[in-house]
Amino acid sequence: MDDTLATPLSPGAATVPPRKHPRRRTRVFAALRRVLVAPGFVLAIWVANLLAAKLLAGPGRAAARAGMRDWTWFDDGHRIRAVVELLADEPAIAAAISSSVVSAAVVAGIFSLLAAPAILTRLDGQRSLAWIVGAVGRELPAMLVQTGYSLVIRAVCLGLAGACAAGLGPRALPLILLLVSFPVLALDRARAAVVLDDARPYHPMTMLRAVGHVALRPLWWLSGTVIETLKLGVVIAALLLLIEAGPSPISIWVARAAGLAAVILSLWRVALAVEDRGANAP
Amino acid sequence: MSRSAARACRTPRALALGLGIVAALGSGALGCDDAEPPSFPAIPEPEQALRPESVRGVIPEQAHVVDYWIDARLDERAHEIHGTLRMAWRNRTARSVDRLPLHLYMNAFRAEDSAWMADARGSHRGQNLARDRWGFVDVSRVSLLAHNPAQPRIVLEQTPSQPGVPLRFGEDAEPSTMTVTLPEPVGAGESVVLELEFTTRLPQVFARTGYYGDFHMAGQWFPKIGVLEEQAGWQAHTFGLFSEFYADFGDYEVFLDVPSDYVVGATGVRVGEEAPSEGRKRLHYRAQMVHDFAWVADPNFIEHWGEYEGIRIRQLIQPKFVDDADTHLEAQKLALASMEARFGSYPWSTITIVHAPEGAGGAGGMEYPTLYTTSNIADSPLPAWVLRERITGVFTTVHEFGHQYFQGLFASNEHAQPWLDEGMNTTANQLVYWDAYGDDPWVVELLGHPLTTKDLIALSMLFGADRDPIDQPADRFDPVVESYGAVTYQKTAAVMLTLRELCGRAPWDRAMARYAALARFAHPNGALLERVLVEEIGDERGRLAMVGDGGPGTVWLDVQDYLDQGLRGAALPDFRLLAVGNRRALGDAGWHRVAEGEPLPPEPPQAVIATQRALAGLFGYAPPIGPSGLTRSETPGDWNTKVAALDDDRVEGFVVVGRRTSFRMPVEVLVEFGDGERLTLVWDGQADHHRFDFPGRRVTKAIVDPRMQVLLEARKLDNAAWAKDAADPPAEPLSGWLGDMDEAAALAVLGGLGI
Repeated sequence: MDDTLATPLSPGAATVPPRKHPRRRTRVFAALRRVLVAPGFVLAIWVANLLAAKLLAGPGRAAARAGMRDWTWFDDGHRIRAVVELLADEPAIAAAISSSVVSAAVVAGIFSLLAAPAILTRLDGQRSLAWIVGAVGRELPAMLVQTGYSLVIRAVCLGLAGACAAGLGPRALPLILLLVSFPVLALDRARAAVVLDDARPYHPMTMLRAVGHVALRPLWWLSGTVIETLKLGVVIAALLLLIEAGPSPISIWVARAAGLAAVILSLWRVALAVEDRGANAP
Repeated sequence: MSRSAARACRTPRALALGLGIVAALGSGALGCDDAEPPSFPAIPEPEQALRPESVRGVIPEQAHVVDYWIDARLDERAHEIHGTLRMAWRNRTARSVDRLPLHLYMNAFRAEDSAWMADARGSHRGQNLARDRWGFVDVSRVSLLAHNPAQPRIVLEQTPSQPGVPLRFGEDAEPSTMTVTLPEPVGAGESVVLELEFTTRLPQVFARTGYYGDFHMAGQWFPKIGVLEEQAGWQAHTFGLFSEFYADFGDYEVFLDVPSDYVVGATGVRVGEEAPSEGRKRLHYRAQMVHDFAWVADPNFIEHWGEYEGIRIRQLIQPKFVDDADTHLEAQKLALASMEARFGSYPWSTITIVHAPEGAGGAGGMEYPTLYTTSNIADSPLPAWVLRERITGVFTTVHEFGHQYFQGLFASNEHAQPWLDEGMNTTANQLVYWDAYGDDPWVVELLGHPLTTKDLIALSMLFGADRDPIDQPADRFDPVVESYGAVTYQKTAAVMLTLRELCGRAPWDRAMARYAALARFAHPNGALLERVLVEEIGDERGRLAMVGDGGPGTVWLDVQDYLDQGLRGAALPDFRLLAVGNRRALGDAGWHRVAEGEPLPPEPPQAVIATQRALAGLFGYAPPIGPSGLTRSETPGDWNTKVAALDDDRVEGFVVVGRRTSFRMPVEVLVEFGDGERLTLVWDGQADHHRFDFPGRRVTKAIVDPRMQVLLEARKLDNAAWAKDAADPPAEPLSGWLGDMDEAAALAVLGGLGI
């Protein structure tokens, strides 16, 4: 394992010209180290996630409570029946819950756009808050454009994943995960190129180079896929555990802890792109 | 290594990885295609269509009304059946008839404006009739071969030496029935022998019968005579969307000419096979004391075999689903074990389970004598700890086999009283599950949370079950109202199982065993079932004491009244906990008039009175002195204390239960007190609401119908509550759980997509 970081993690690191890599090795654990040395940053994102989730789930929680009025459900052996009856008789609850999940996706999308420069800058070692916040302002239009390009790649990959699923069924899961992760990794790379390597911010070649970059680095692609799969696994497991445990004050905190794990894993994936900075820069 | 050389190295590496994955997946996906279809050791064809009399019991001669001899040829390309049918019908009634109505069920699929299609609008259970793939049956000739004044032994197999007398016949205004006019009436005890020629074209299957590719399911495929009833006359109903079938018992000798590579299953047993021509085979089937004959043919069937107490169980299954055969066989055996114990012996020697191929799902889930079609078990990719279920496929097998009793053996009029078959069968299906897996077992288990048989019935009744009464003819149900399924199947089961729970199960089980004994081969009606239930469960006045010994305070369940409400009323019972709480216990503080004959309290000295009045005037309160006829009890010191802070013996708990619909029936109410004790009471459910008082006891919570005995009550969320003044009641768990799930899902989306 290479325990030296691609760029120094000291304040003002962004002012140091990026070092060109003689080799294009994917340093997975060095990328993780970039995340672990920024605990405050990680916690801040997690807390923001917690607050947003709490806020977004408020209407659903309130609707469910209002739906039950003064009654309560004591029978643990017939809980599914009770939930179905409640949702069937009070469709506002299902509407509120689905709207909160959709809202969460929208918030996540906006957060992804806004926070990407800040995350990349911070993972690159920059600790100056002003610089980090400034990066958000500077790079927002470029993030929008690159994200737009990535949607095309995403559509193609999702189409291929859908075809695999239709043709092979559950056996295609590994292939689907590889295909679904690919546009995410390519977008990470394109954003890193723009924010850290001064790549052309609005040019489609930046995204295309990122696509080629990921495609030619199987270890990166595979690592990113594994990290994304882990993240998916963690959040799904937490959700399943919460359902399995039934009403319990502890299980929601398990889900919240899983949220922290998801944040760390996401940052780790982004850090793979930071770790590879300088590659294919214009 | 140069940059280009490095890239050149990486490209094949990436390619190799990708190809490796694809190859691994591809081999997994396609690896099974070359496998030979499995075969299973066959169990020989039973020699007799019926089980021995010592097992099945005596079949009353009166039940034997009509025999058929059919010679049919399948044109597998045109999907047509060309047949000659001879029918010997006996008039078992005291009536005399000069016309014979026959069902032409297949004409339901002849045109868009048939009664069936007008209701169905081309769709049945989510399956649609393919464009221009209509089906029909056309009768080209009807002849009278014999009219016997007595009941001689008629040999239908013998070709008549003389051509019969041509008869006048014609389809009725609705083409699912036709009428044959006889030259002279058939009197009581007489019989007639008719010969018909017919052609049946099968529709592309979407509703029980038809073809799909090489698969041919021939159900309701030949002209079939109606039922002559002593009181009501001919029963030959128009075939409608919800009306199924009704026919008399008899023997069938059926010859089927099919392609030689087709695997055939049919009602009864196969007693012969010959090869009439190249590429064809002619199979001879015999069925005894059945009221219908169905068959299925498909070259792709794999035969799977099993046996239960001398009954041969044959499955005709598609290769793709052959691994499920053992599960269906197990379900079939469980159903046989439960139903034989409850409803008497299964009389026939064979049962054939047919699995329709993919694309022919419309054929699935239908019963015929000694043969039924089931559905496939859902292929879930989820591990068992996430999702377990014993409903898809398995329930269909249990349900369709159950019809062998209610439709096949009892043979009630499904058009007049569909609930007596479908509903009672659904009831029996639940009991199969209970007998096999214990009381109210799960049918689906999601992450350890069970959905039980009772839950499933309740959820099925949430919408639509209170839109129609149960006991009405099939054509009274409006498909647009969407009530038929919930009312006829689940609501009937709920009526019956609620009664079973309320009466302590054994009396109901006894009643059903008696009903089954009376109903075998007897075309029972609902009145018979109700009478047996009332007699077995109720006392001499048809009542069941829920609480008490018959004296004052006894809570009665009037069984007939319950059945009247349940079967002939649309409403479902729905109870609601209107209030649970505590209030200050009633004391005797204040002024009371001294009762006549009781000594007056001693009057205080005038000086004391004056002082008290003066003090009262000074501080502005009423003096504690009243007229001589009144006496005053002290107001307790905790008069202004909140109820929650009072000692338990100073409060009076109360529980108010309300009835939200017109359905009146008794219900249990469980009350839990502050000291942890639990008390179960019974409310007779007659008034709009009722209050239970508990002086000197603090109520903490209450639950209406805590044992979920009232399956008929679909909505139970309003059945339980904490007392309003309960000290620190926990947060409502269900809504909290939903809120937590919502938050966790939002968190997963944020954490998953946000970066």
